[in-house]
Amino acid sequence: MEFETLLTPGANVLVNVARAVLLMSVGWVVAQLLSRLSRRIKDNVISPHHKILLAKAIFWIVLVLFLVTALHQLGFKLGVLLGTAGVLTVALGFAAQTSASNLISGLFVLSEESFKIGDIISVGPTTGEVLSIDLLSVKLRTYDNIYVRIPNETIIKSEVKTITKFPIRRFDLVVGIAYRTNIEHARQVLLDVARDNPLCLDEPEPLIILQGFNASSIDIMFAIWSTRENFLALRNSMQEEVKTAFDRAGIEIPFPHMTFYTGADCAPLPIKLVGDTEQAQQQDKPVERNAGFSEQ
Amino acid sequence: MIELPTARLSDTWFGDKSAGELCYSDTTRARLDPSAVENLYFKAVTPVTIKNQSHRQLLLDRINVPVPMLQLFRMPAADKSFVTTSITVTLSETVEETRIQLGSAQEHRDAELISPARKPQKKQFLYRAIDLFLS
Repeated sequence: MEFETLLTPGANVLVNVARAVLLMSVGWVVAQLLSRLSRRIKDNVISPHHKILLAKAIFWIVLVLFLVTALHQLGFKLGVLLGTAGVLTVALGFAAQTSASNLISGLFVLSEESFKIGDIISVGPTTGEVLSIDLLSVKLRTYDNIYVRIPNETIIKSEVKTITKFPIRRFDLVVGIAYRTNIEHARQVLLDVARDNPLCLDEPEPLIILQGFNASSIDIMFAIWSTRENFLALRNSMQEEVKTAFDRAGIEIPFPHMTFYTGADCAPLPIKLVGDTEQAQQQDKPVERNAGFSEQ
Repeated sequence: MIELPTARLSDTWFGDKSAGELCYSDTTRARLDPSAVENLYFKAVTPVTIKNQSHRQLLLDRINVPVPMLQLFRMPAADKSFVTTSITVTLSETVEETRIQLGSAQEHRDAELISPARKPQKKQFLYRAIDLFLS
């Protein structure tokens, strides 16, 4: 006589539930173990990005298998369950359109491989390091150490810049020079600055593009290359060095001049004229004039 | 022997903008006549031979010298000058046939080995370096 037949129907259910719980617990442990084992695969065999995907896939497949077995243990029939799941999926699809959209977008994000874990990406106003690429969202850590979750749908729809995709980057410095400056001289000074900065790559060569005649300056775009690791250091050092070199070479970086207008109703501004009239110097008094003009 | 960097050379890039190799850059006098090479006690000379077996004219602008793969020797002559493993490039019609060879261990038989190569010769690197070697 079997063990179950000795028990009352209520006790039988309890035993089945206990078995199902045990199965799920064992399933959880086995899924975790297999998932962790898969993470030990060496990086030269499989990329870190694919390794994480594999670990997640193993975990969920094993867990679902144990879940199906546990449900079977509880007396559910798989065929009926799948049929119910079909109806449920349609209902869920309507109810959770956003999640479904993110899920499908997630599959495209994963297969496209525009970026991988550890890359620095820029999505809209957010720039940060990719921490994980999941089915529903991509998690970033910004430079100011903020955890940002970006839905996969947003990633698919918007422009994503992968900053660490290529090994070298170009920094475009736009600098204005005064109209009286010899452009060739300014060009030579800029090239000398690039040559003397060790972080600036000799190849690809620095590029100088005259951008046009602005209101108060001739604008020059000075495009220089560095490795992506040195980009920030180059960006900081180069601006400082260009300013210093221009100062040394007597090249003026013009800036817009402001005219101060106090309006007709304002009181006149006191202005002291130096060397204008001897009388003013002797009296050593400020000469008052009507406001509403400027002197440059 | 200790290695002390005495000058910070400028960075440069060999290859296209999406893949290549980071190198240090420096100007060279690249003497064609070995006797014209100045034997300075703090410099090492790398003999480079370029054989152009193709029909096209070769404009030599810059050379990628795989320094980590070179050995350093001291010549027994009175000047005790330093010399490294030599490099031979044979340029053929196609990139596939073009070869870069580093000198064998026996080429400076009388010289004293000061430092072995920092990195082993990688055939893969040498093939990859062919299109990077000459620009």
